[in-house]
Amino acid sequence: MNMPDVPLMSMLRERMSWLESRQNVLSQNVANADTPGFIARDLVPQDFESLLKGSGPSPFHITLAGSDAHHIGVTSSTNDYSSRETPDVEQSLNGNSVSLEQEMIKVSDTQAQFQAATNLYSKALSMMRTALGKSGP
Amino acid sequence: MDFNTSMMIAASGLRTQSERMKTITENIANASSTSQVAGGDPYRRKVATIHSNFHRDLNATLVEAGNPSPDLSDFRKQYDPGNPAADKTGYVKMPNVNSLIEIMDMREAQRSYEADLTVMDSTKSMLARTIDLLRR
Repeated sequence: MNMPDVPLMSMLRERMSWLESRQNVLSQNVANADTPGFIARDLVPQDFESLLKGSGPSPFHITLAGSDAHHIGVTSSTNDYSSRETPDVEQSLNGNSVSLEQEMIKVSDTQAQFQAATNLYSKALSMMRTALGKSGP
Repeated sequence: MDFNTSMMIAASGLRTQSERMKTITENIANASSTSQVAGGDPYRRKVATIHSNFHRDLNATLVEAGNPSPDLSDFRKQYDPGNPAADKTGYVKMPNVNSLIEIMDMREAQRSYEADLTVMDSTKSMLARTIDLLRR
């Protein structure tokens, strides 16, 4: 059993990588805030239930068999989160639908969520350290 | 690393806005540049163009500034017979630059630039947080 197999850890890792992807999408929106015809995008929100199901050892989880331990396997977690077009409330005359205020709110929200995830991650680590019998930080 | 992609996207935004700022500055600086010859055309206002292009490597939509296109609206005419650029009737063609419009454009570019900087800051702090996990 390695670290990523701990459900809590893998969930947090999944969450962090989702937030990372979201930051990516949001920065595309902000950069294209003046591009004519650009429509704002956002990631589809994470589903807690599927996250729970996805993190545990699933009987349907199939990976490629390798003949050697050193072979690079196909990892179960992919960074492909689906995004969809989410036009902001206002649309300018050139067809651009990015509202900078809206995007700024989303960016700071993502940052706060990421902060929460990293704090939880380090908390989980210190809990493990406690279980190991060493004093926490 | 995905955070680097976010940084690159924000950087492309910064680059584009500063390019746009350059065009606006050019317009403001040349707001009263008349022709060198009598009756000739003065400075023609340029319009900054912005378009997005898909970067295959980063798998993201970056933004870039296109070539500035000329503003084809009419020139202003000012009666000033003593001016060397005046035509036979004594009128001087002045550039079609409206400083009010340029200032508004400048404000908009500044706002977008600030937004890009904010995204960069926020991405940077997220990256720092991740690295901080190593210290615990």
